[in-house]
Amino acid sequence: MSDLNDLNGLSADMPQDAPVQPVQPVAPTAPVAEEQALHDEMEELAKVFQEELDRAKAEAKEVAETEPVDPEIELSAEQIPPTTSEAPAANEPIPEEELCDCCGEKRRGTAENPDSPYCTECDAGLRHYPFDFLNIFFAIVAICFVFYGGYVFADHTETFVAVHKADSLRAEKKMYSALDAYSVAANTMLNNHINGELVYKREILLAADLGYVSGLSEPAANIHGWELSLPHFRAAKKTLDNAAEITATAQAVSTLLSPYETTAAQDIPYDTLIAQLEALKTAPVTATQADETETEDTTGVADAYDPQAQQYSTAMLSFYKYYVALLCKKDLETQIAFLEEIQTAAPDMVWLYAPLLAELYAKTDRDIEPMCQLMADCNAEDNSPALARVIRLRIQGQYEEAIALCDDTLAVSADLETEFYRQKALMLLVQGQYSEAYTIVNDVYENSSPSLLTVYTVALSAAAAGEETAYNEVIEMLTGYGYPIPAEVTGYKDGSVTMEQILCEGDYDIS
Amino acid sequence: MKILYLIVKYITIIGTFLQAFFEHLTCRIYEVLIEDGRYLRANEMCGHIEHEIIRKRSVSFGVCFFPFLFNLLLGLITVSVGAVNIYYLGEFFTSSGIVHIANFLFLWMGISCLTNLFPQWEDALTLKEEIYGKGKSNLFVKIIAAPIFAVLYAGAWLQKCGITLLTSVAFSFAVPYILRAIVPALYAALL
Repeated sequence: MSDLNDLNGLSADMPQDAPVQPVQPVAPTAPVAEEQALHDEMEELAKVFQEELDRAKAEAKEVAETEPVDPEIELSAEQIPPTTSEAPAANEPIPEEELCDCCGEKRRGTAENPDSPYCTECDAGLRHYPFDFLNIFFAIVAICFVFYGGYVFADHTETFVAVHKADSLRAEKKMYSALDAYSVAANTMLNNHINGELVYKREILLAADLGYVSGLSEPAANIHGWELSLPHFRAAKKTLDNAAEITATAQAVSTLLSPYETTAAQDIPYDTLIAQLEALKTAPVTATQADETETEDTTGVADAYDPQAQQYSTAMLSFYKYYVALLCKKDLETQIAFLEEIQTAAPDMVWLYAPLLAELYAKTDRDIEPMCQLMADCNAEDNSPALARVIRLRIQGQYEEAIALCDDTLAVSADLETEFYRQKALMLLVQGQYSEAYTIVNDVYENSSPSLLTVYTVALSAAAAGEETAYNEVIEMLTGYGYPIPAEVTGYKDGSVTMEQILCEGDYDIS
Repeated sequence: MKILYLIVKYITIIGTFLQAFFEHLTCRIYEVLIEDGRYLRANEMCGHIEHEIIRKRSVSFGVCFFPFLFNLLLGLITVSVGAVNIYYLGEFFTSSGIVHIANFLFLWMGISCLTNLFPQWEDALTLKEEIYGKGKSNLFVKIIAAPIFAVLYAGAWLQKCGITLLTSVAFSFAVPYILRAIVPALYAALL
């Protein structure tokens, strides 16, 4: 309001006889001569102003007398509704303080509000204050953009729901289902041309938690390489680097161990292999081996991150030491020591050490529950804790409870199905139910891709059940592939060992 | 404080503009006398319309509430799109590899609108006087109006201090989690 007052104040009529106020001295210490000069100057200005005002008024009066009144203007004046703010008569000037704050010409106040600082016309106009064209334009553009936002949101809903499903499963620790759901979400994003990099990041982290090291390159191919250095992608970068180290380690170790895959335990140079594995901890990753870790993925962004292993994975080297100890049939304590090394070096790699450690703890009469709890906390869909409990019950001779636990677990999930059936077969063998044991384990052998342990169990149960043809077929198959025949199987066949000695002593299993 | 207020207002200029526009529109609909219709003045009136003191309760409520409502709706839509696409999905780039400007614009616009929801502090005080002033309203009106008045009054104070930028940014982070509780169920119901 003050700015309007300032503007309009300049155009207000000043009374002709208004006295010119003397200018006050700026400071009491000002010299008298300067004061007088200022006073004279102001008087001169007042005189000039008065002359100009008189001349303007005289001209206005002359024009009013000589020119006729425009009928249109007269008509417009008649259309104006009667108000309290009457136009000032030519010879009746309105005091400045009573002028409209907006137009500065008419008397302020309206019929509704006599104290209004505006005249009736200005009051009515200000109550319908006009919009700028640009303001309307920008507002319409903004609102159109919001509608476009609604469309984009609807377009992303399918992806949002798919990702939400994966996240929910992950929050519930149903990791296998979550990984499948992330894969579905990734396909949905691909179909809808959405590059949700944070979804790929979550998929990478989850796959790494489950030990699916080879499954990381596909989601990683959709993330720009330079982004992985940013804070929100650092975890993914670390995971990819770890995966590259694991892959490089596996490749390096495979060249060391491949000659001994089918060698009898006593012929494997245990100490030499352990020393070679230990040496790899400080060995540089060779260029050839690093290159082999590259993935040939043609999808995704052009500048995707290409992880290069800078060293071999200490945890994986410990795992291979355990593997060598297993091949050499070293005692369980030695095996446990290597697995506990992994736990110390990389406690996050639960998938690598926990199932094996739980089984070995069960066989050495240790408390397996902390390890089972750890596995359950990482993945509620992992049946490894139940399997460890089954093994412990079997070793303790509580076969009914163990078989019931097997059945209960298999009723819920098929994870590790073949191993649960094999454990059932082992318990039936100890109880003398050879035919039932053979039937169970033979079904698994024929209907799935069996592990070496399953094949050994088929051979043992076939020998126990008197299934000569089946026994010979299995032995022939093992011999054909170059695998050694376990001493437990041949010993049982020739009667030198009993079933109890095989399954209730030593490592409580065929190995 | 005024400098902070102005910085926030200009950072969130789209929300500031829309709030003033809707305030202008509401004033026109209610025939409130507007004394200065400039939207982006560099003073405490930035993002507001200078209008006469309103002496009618319903008009005072409307001038405070409707700009709030309009900006809230626009803000919720745009912040939902921006927050889901950026914070939740991580769609920083288009499938062809260029920066997804639209997603960042959605987020900025959403945060801007949510930062500029609330009425001018003087309008909030006027509303308080009109509703809770001595002999102005009966008990029923006072109780019914309490929740929305509390929001408008507290929000106006926060906005005066420039804190609404922080609250709207915080809200934008929470949006994907809120939508996760609503959208999948709606989607399942619709399909």
